[in-house]
Amino acid sequence: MNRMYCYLWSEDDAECKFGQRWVKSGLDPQTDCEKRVRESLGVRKDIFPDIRARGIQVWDVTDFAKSVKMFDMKAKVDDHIRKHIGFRKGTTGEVHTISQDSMSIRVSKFLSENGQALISAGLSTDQYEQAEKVVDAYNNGSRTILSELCARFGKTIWSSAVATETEQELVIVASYVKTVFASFASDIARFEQFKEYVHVDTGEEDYQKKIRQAFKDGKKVFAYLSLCGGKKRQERLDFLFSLRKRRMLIIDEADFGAHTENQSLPLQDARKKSDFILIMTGTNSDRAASTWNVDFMTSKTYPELLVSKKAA
Amino acid sequence: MLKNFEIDKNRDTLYPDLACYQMDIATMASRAVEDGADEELLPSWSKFATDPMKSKGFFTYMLQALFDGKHDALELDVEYQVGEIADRRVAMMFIASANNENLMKTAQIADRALPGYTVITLCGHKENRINGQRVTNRNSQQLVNEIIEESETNVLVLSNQMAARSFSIPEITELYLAYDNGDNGATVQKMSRTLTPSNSSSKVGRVFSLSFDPNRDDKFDSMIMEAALKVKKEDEDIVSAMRRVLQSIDIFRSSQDGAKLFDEAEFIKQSMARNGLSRVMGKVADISSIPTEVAISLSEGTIDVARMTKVMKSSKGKTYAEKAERKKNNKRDLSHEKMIARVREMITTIVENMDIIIFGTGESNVQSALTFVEENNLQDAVEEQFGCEFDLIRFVFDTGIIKQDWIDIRMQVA
Repeated sequence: MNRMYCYLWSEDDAECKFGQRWVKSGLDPQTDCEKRVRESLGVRKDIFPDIRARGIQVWDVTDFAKSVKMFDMKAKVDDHIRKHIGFRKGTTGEVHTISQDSMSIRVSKFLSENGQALISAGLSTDQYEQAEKVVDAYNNGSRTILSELCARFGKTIWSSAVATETEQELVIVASYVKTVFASFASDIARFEQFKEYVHVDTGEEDYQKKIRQAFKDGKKVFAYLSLCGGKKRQERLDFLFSLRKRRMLIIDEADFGAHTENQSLPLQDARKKSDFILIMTGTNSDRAASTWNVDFMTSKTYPELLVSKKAA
Repeated sequence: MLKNFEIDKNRDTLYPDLACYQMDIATMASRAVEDGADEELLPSWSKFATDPMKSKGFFTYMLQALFDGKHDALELDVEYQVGEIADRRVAMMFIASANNENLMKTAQIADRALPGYTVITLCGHKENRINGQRVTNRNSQQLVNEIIEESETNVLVLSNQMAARSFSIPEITELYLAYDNGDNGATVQKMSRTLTPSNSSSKVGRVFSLSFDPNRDDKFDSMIMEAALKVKKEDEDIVSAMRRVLQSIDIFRSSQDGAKLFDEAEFIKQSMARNGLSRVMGKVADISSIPTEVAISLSEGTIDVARMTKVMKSSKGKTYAEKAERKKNNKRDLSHEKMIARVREMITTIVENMDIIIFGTGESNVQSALTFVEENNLQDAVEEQFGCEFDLIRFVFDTGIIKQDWIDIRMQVA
């Protein structure tokens, strides 16, 4: 059966392009949408590899298109969606004046709220095996787990999968690296398995209201917490750890800034005994875990990923 | 089994392949001197990093050989070694031991040596600017991206420590390690800068270890051995596991006749001879859950076994943090890091020397060898050999800090 897809891509962090593609039966939607993006580049096809590496995101909007009676090759479902998203550059174009990450989160939220099933996230063999190990460890009573996972492993979706599998209601993603937040939310918001989660940056003024509202609506929450020092950090910690929810704290890039006592001790003071702690690092696990009492450790190196690649 | 996720085998194929090259650069130093450069022969990168101006003849020759195929040094001509002429080359070189001042000087030398290249320096030196901006870890990726997009020239990015993590530029296909030794974890981080996927599964990240003495260069050993220890199946020997890893990563030795793929057996033999396996075991030993008191004992080489066994059993809830004094500033607790490093050194020493006890006692495994030592009151001799208390050696095996099968592995290759 033919299906309707929307796609999103960008060249830089300032703008992104949101379009649609009628994907004929039997074609791979990702490949077909990428083909469309490449065609649209005109004489600048040389930049396609960069765009692809940055990530061309796709959504199956077939059900949504049907629900608004626009399931037709010529219908402008993308224009219908963009009306609800905003930030359109000009009045007719496909360009939006927000980053791809922000746009992606908004599109996923809109589709999810309007009954469109999102795409399902699959895990690589190594991600799956590591997730199984860690979930088992949590189920067996471990509460503080250190995961040393090499670059390119895919820590974002993996840790989110662990949070979902352990049925967390509140997931706090703490990092010293500010860019972690946007990429985290953008990476996972478009997958079906995470559709129950609302993403809230605790750097925003009304974050408490947003989190309370999400729980009131029966949703779960990913809350992003900057570990950069400041008066408000403690206030945010106090709030997040006062909520009576099944809670996981994910510390990303844990060996970078987050391992210092000024950053990690407030987290340790705030955590409750029952909270799930997941300390993630790409390297320097000794440093990452230097102030934590770790119950269980797991690790994965790049050569191991290549062994799996060869086996696949 | 997970409830909400399935394995997608396609995702296994998305990781860029990795090819590693060992390059002997010692000849370049002597050639520069033969051609009139007024400088000493260089035995190490650390000497270069201390005063790059003293060795600019060597460095110029080396860069021109690597990137322009000059000076009749086919063994360093990367395009010849790789067998491909690139439309555009985007390379990154880590000179880890150079301070910011000397990295800036190194960049000046590189700039003059490679006219067809845009040389970018990544360090926090106060005079280092890219497009008018001070360079920081946070903006380095964006600034380098801008230059790659704006210019059409080849690009060489020079760095000492900056951009070793969270720096993803798909165009980087060549990564040069211009330092001796170096921490394994940090080296792997640096190597990963060439592993950002660019398109489908066709990208190969190429890592070049520039060494004055390739026979002693162990930068790739630890990576291979660590992976082998982890992928090793229960009834598999370490050599077979290493062979499996080496089937996934190509390791070449550059030569005048082109890059020669290391024969698996040859690489394994050489890396074993470099004694890297014990160091890797020291590195991968899981000490993350050892209570502080035990860690301190291990780092000092002395132990009260009865007390530490109790501490190990009641370790839940006991954290390093509880022991540590809270600091008012934000500085790293170096004393803790040093102590952990000493623990790992101690583990390495024990692994490295266990074969002496096993051979010396005529026993076939760790436990019976240790028992033999106790029954024959040979503890003093063992303590002299190992530099730590005998009880500590027994303790690390009894508690599983060192896995007994690691010693079996060491014995297989001894």
